[in-house]
Amino acid sequence: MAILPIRIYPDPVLRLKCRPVTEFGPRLARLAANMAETMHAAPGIGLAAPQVGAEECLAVVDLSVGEDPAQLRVLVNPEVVRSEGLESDVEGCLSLPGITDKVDRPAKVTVRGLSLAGEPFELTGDGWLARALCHEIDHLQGILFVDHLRGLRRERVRRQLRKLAAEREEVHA
Amino acid sequence: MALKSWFQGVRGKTGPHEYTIDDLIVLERYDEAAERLVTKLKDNPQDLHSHLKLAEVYTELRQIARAVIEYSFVADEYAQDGFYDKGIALLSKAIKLAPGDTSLGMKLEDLQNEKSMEHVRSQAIEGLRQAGGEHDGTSALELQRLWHHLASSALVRNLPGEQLRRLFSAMELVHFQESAVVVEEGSLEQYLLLLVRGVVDAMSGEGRDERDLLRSFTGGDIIGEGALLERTPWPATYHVREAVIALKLNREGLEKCLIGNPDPRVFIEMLREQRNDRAVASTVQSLRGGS
Repeated sequence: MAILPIRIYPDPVLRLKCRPVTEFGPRLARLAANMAETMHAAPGIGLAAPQVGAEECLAVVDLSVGEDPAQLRVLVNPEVVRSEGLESDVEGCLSLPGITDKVDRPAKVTVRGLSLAGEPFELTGDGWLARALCHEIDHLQGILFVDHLRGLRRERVRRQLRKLAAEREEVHA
Repeated sequence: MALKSWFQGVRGKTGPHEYTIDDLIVLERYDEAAERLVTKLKDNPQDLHSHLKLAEVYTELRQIARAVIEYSFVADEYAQDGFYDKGIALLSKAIKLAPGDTSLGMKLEDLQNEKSMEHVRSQAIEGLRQAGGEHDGTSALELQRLWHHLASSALVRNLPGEQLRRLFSAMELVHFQESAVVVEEGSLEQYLLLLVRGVVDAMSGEGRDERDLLRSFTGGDIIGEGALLERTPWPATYHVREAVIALKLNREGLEKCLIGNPDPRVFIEMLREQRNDRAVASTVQSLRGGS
């Protein structure tokens, strides 16, 4: 297994709409395992394929950050099929280091997806699990949590993003 | 190494990635952002968020005239939907950008006046809702728009809110298509129309081609007050030039307005204040007297 480099804003790979996974096999399993290791090392509670430069509908979520292997969820081609309520809480993202803000998300969601073996499953979660699922599924559509902000919050985050982009430019210069 | 080639292989298949408009703004690539927003607005001209973003981008590009147009457009849309504070805030931004533009100042004043009529507005909208809007499936937003068209009319400015509610709730919302005849000269139908939107031409004479245009009426104008209040025949034939939305008050509605009305005399006086029927009748008379 390997820790993959995490793509940082404004890397355009973060804006792509991922294509559905159609081939299930060792390559996909390896990517998922690498993503899980990368997420745990970061540390984070979720990671989507574009964040490591991959363009497939694949995400991993683990609220225990590696403490409890049973909590690791691998989501292939996930989609939200039901959502209830609304909760506001502070979110961050491994691809937007140093940027956090309050985001409204459903209080409870049911996600339908496939396992690494291509078997369908449904997963219902509330609280932070619901938030993490929505956040990662957004990534697979090229949506970042900052895209949900409006008004003054958006203005503030725009400045932070500009700073982050400038820093990245300096790093690459 | 294997991982690297795998990523490159995948990327080659899907082509280049594209920044979002927001990313382009963050990256200060304003020309590209403007281009993308203009394209987006061609597909969806009513996307107010994009208009606002375009205004910001034009401001950054120092294309002030264009920014002002965008801000004004969104301010108008907000005002039409009853969001006066948002409209006022946007117009204030536009004025800061173009302090010499007097039309912006006038527009701001209009919005402030409309906002100050908030109580009247809520009463009037309640009346409009009862005017058949509900049955026609007219949404709250459409009712706001009807109100916006009427807000600057003399009738709305002069009648107290409660009287407006009483009046509107006794009226019926009617639509006329372009080229329709609203009423023929000499008709004894007893109703008046308060035009909300569109244009109606009062014509006299026989045969459509030989008819003389006497006068045109538009939003806020009342026609038929003579027919309803004085039972006089309609003085001309009224043709729709541009599709019309109007509020119709018939005799039954008038009676409903007057029962329990604390000030019926003022109410009736306001309805007949424009005296459009009389003006049209007198023009017809002078035309015929002169021929």
